[in-house]
Amino acid sequence: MTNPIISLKKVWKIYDMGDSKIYANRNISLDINKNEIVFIVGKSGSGKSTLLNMIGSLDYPSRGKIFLDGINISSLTESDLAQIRGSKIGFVFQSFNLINSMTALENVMLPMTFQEIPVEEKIKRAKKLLNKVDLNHRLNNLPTELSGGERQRVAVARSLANNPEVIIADEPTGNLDTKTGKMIMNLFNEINKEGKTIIIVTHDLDLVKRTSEHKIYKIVDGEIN
Amino acid sequence: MLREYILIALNNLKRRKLRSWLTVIGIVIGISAIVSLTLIAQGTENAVNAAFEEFGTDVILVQGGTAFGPPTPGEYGLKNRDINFFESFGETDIVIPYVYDTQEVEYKSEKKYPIVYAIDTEFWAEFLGRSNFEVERGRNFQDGETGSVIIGWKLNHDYFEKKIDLKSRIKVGGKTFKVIGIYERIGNDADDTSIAMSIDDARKIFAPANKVTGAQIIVKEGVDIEKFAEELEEDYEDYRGDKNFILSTSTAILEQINNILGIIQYVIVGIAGIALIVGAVGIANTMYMSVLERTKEIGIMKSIGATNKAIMTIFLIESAFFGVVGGIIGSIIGILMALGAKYAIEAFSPGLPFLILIDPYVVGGAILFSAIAGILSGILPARAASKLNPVDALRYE
Ligand SMILES: Nc1ncnc2c1ncn2[C@@H]1O[C@H](COP(=O)(O)OP(=O)(O)OP(=O)(O)O)[C@@H](O)[C@H]1O
Ligand SMILES: [Mg+2]
Repeated sequence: MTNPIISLKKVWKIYDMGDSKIYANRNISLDINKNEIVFIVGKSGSGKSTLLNMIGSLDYPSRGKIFLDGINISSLTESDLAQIRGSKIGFVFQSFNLINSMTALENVMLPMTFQEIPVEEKIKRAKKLLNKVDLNHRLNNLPTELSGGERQRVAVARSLANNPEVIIADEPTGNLDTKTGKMIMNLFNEINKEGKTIIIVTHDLDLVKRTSEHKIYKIVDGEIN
Repeated sequence: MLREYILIALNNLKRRKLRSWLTVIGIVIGISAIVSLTLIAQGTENAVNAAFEEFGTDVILVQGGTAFGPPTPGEYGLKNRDINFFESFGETDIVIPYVYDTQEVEYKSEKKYPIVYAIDTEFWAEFLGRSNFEVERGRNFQDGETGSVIIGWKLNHDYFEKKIDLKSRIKVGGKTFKVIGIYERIGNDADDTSIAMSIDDARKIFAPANKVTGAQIIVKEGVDIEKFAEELEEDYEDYRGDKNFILSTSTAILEQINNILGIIQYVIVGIAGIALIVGAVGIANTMYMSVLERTKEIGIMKSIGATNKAIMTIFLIESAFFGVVGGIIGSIIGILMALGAKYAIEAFSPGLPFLILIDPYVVGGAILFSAIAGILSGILPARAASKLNPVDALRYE
C-alpha cells in the first residue's frame, strides 16, 4: 500500500464549555491517499467542518495525531503550521472568503505573497490560474463585482496558487445554484486528474453520485462509521 | 517582502480614508505643537543670547538698593566714593555711573511721567554700545554737552498728543531741554518712552550730587570676569558695611536666563508631549477597531498561509504609517507656525533679531519620535490581530 498523504490517528476535538463538554469529533482514524477525491457527509452539526479544519491544519486536535505527508502537524508551532498550510493546502469555503478590497488577480496572488514568491512570478501564475477557471476577462474586478459562481472560481484559483498537494473544500457549492455547483465540481474533477488530493465536505448527495471515483466518509455525531 | 506588506497595509488605509486622516490629525496636532514650540524656544534663546552679546561679556553691573531686587526709580544706593572704590581695582577699565528716576515731562502743556536716565556724557559711546538703544535720527551727546535730551521712539510718535520731534523743546522736571536725537524702536514701552540726558543736568533737576543708582564696571581685556566679580562682591560688602546692593555679570545673568528658558522649554514640550500621547491613543483606538472589523479577513489570510508575524507586520506598518505621515505633516505645520511666530514677534519688537533655525535634529527627531509612537501604539492591537485563532476568525461575521 502507498503511503497516505493524510493520516488521522484517534483524533478528538473537544470544546470545553465550562460546565459541559462538546465532543465535536470522537476518535476519528482515517487515511487519505494521494490523488483521491474524498467526500465527508453528515448532518448539520455532526462535526464535518471541525474535522476539515484539523485536516487543513487550521486547528489543533484535542487528542490524537494528524500526519500530513508524514509530518505530525498536531505538534507543530503556529508559524510552522501556517507555513505548511500555505504551501501544501488550498482552501475553498462555502462563503468564498475572498478579500473584498482586492481584485480577483490580487486575491489569487495573496497566498504566494505569504510564500515570498517574486512579483513577476506571482502575476504570471495568478493569470494562468484565472485563465484555467475561465476568468481571464475578470482579472481586475473586485469580488463584489462578480457573481457567486465567478467568486467561487476565483477561490478555486486561489486555492491552487501555491500548487498545494491537497485541496480542502467546505460546502463549496452550498451558496451556488445547481448548474454553477456542477461547474465547480467539474473543476475539482479536472484538478484531481492533474494529481491533487481533494477533500470535500457536502450534504449534496447528487454531487457525490456524479463523481466517478471517490471515497465517502459519513460522520454521525462526531464519529465516522 | 516588506514591500508587499506595505502595499497591503496602504490598501487597508485607503479603504478607510476618512478615519485614517482623522487618526493622522491627532498626531499632527501633537507633533506640530512640539516642533513649533521647540523652534520658538530655540529662537528665544538665540535672541536673548544675541542681546547679551551686544551688552558685552566684560561688564559687571552694581545696583544699590536691597539685596533682594533691582532699585526702583529714584533710588540712589551707591555713593560717589563707591565709584572711586570700583575704579581702584587693577582689573577695572572704566566705571560708568548712572541714575534714573521717573520725572514730570511737559510738552505743549501735556504732562507725563516717563523714566529719565542719565550718565556722564564722557562715557556715552561706551554705554550706548552696550545697550540695545541706537540713535536712529539726530545725533548722540557730545562730551560735556548739557541742555540736550535723546528721546525714545514712542515720544516721537503717540506718547504725547503732539508728536515730539528733533529740535523740539520739552520740559523735564521743570527745566527746558532740546531734543537732539531719537532712538530706534525697541519694542517695549518702558524703553520706548524713556529719555536720556547728561548726569550733570540730572543732578541739577532730581539726582543727588553725591549718589547714583548704579554703575557699570567695564573690566580690562583678559580679566576672568566671574572670578573678579566674586572678589569684588566680597571686598565691596566689607567696604560698604552692608549687603544692600546687587552685583551681577552679564554671563551669570545669561546663564540664569538660559536655565529658565530651558525649564520653560521642557514644560512646553512636556505639554505638547501629552498632545502626542492623546494622538497615540487615537492610533491604538483606530487599530483596535480595524482588528475587530477585519477579523474575518485575518482568518482568511491565515487560512491561505499568513503567519502570525506576517499579520503583525501588516498591522504595524499601518500604525507606523499614521505616525510617520502625522510626523511629516506635523513638522511642516510646526515649522510654518514657528515662522509665523517669528514674524509676529519681529513686527512687535523690531529690535529683537528672532532667529528661527530649522534644526534638522528637531524635525528629524520629531518624525522619528512620532513613527515610534505610531509603532508602539500599534503593538498591542497588532498582537491581538496576529493571535486570533484562524477557525474562530473565519467564523466571525
Ligand atoms: N468553537 C466552538 N466552540 C464550541 N462548540 C463548537 C465550536 N465549533 C463547533 N462547535 C460545535 O461542534 C459541533 C460540530 O460543529 P461543526 O461546525 O463541525 O458541524 P458541521 O458538521 O460542519 O455542521 P454544518 O453542516 O452545519 O456546517 C457543533 O455542535 C458545534 O456547535
Ligand atoms: Mg460546517
